[in-house]
Amino acid sequence: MRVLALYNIKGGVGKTSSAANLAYLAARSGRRTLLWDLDPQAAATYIFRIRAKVKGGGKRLLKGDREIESAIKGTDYEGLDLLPAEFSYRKMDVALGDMKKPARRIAWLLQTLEGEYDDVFLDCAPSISLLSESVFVASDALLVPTIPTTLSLRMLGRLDRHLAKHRRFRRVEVLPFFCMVDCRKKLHREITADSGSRQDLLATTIPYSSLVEKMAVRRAPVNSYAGWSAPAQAYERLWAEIDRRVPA
Amino acid sequence: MGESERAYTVADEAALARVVEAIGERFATEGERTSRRRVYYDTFDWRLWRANGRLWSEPVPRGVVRLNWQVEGRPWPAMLEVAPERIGFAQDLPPGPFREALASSIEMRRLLPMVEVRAESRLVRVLDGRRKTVVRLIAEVPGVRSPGSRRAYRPLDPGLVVQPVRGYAKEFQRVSRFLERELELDEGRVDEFEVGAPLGGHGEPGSYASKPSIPLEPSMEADEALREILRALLKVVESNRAGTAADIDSEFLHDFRVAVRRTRSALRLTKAIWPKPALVPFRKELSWLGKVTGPTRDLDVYLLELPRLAASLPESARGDLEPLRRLLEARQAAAQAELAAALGSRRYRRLMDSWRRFVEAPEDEADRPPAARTPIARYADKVIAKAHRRVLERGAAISDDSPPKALHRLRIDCKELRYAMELFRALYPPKKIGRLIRALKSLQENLGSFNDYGVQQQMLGGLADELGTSDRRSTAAVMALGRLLDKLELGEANERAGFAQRFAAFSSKKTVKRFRLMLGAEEA
Ligand SMILES: Nc1ncnc2c1ncn2[C@@H]1O[C@H](COP(=O)(O)OP(=O)(O)OP(=O)(O)O)[C@@H](O)[C@H]1O
Ligand SMILES: [Mg+2]
Repeated sequence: MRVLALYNIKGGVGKTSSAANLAYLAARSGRRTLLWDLDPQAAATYIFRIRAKVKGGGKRLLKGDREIESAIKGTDYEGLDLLPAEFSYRKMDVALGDMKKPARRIAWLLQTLEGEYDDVFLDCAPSISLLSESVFVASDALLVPTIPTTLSLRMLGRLDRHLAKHRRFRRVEVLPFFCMVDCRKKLHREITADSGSRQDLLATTIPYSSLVEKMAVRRAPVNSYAGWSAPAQAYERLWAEIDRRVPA
Repeated sequence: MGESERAYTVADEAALARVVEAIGERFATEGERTSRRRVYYDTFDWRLWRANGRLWSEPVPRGVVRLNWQVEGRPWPAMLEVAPERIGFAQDLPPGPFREALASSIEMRRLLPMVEVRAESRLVRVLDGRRKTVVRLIAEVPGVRSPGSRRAYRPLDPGLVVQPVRGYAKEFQRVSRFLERELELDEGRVDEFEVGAPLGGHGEPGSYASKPSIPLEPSMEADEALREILRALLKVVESNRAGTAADIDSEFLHDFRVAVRRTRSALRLTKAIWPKPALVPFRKELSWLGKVTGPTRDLDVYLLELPRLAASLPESARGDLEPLRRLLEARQAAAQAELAAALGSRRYRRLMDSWRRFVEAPEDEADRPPAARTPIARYADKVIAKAHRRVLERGAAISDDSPPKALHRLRIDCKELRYAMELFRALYPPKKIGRLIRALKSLQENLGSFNDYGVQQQMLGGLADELGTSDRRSTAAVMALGRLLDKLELGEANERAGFAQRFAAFSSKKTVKRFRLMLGAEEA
């Protein structure tokens, strides 16, 4: 089971949009896929038209009291399931703090799904917290949507330093990609052109497009309703690249 | 994990349309047209079907197909994407657990396309207040035909499948209840594979069996019962002819030969019930058939065994056997061509025609020897008892110093006894004869392995001479062969050492008594 987290310390960079589209594409290629919405805002849950409610609550889910399986919902797409978020998730960090080995918690919970899914996507909230550390430990790769600005690149550097601090984060691969790239902006052009600076950077970039913004209105992945469009095509290329880079 | 899908059958297309309409009136739905194509695969002897399995391919984009496998209604967890032309032998599929599991089911057999399905369907999605899909319904009118044929699809009963969406069990139950209580639909599903299979060239699923069970009445007259047996064997020969000639997989020839051998054994064992001159030409011609099919079978066996033999070598030396494999393959191809020619020859056709006439037509009363009228139950006792006696006598004469030839002869006698027991199996209590066959089998395994080790040494030794040591590659191959020969010699010695014990078990008082009890008075 391959675990891929959409993560960035910074908010509003395209984590949720990317998680929804990549998970959709993984499922469409025949992989049994789960998208776990870990953000109390429940944006991914909303996109898939699922009620932001977890049976028994987030805390009990985290404790392992309730089987994680019973909270999972099927989406409208074959092979793609979703583990919804709810508002109580914002107290997850406090709950984690009271538990033994909090950093291993997500990995431990995912173990119970081994054999049931081929790919698991984690849509994270923008922060560094106990929960995100647990995500770093559980994941094979952090997919980091990055807007091509100097500030964003600095944030990437901060993430690198943070991950270097602990041995238990060594295993996770960091794969940034440029997102919301606006070709009309000089800065975007310059930064994406100069991408040789980071070797781990994925080659595919996701263009800025109002079709992606519409996901919140259509409540569906852009690839499901505008498969021919530039951003959808970009997501297909991105998925192919990730699929190659991270061994299943 | 919650609910599993339910299927319903509907009388005809109009009724199905009414059902879809009723669902639309009752629930918030959204619909779209789709279609489905499938090709089901199985081996010639229905190995997957017999294990309650279904294997099928579905086209996916990019020119490949997805292979799905269900056993006992449960899907195999992983699917496989392959180019359709790679579906054949297990070893041609991409490596992994799917291939391994399939290989242990189908072994050396080739997967053949058995049924092609095409269905026009309507996907109806039941929505909740968020317009989220909470139940899926597929209403479809499927049709089946023989794969690759140009014929029209034969329509099957339309069906409705209700699929739960995970986490929405209540909604699923509500829809199922509506279908069952209000629309009064009947649960059930047409088995596309079973209905479609007879349209292909291979008959009903399970219709082919390499060892057909032949129902016999104990009171039948001996020659009448034997004809029944011989007809069943002829059917096996004939159903394997085309696959043998085309070399679809090695098992066609194997079954073909076994059926010919059993036929010859049956004639040898029952000489007394046939008019004297009647059998002479058949014996000669059937022996010819055994001979022309022999070389290809031997080479098939070497090629099948080679991977196992290679695996017994150290990793580094395995590749060295490559020249050997190529030599064997070339030989096999040549032998196969001769075999195919023999099976297409006038001589073969004449033999089959006259043989069929013989097994189908009853004898002239005047020509029937008195033994022909013996009830088959008594006659079978006699035949088995005689073959059993011969095995016991020949085996008892073998000591630790006896030459391999003595064991070889005993092996043939055991085979004869085995055939006799299997031919007349239906006349005995299944448990009793089953136990005695197992006892015999254990002895046969020992004798068989002993013989195989010897034959393989001879064969490989001969090949080593032929490969020569003219270049580096063949030198390496000959050295690898040398290692194999050592192993084979060791194996042969082990089997030889194990013989005494196996034979002692088979000739033990207990086993002999069991034979006597089963065969009654005949076993003195
Ligand atoms: N390629 C794009 N082009 C245009 N708009 C985009 C693109 N990707 C995302 N957006 C929009 O940007 C906003 C933030 O996107 P998204 O929710 O995917 O980011 P996020 O990183 O998950 O945010 P958060 O940190 O709040 O969870 C949304 O309004 C989304 O529609
Ligand atoms: Mg988000």
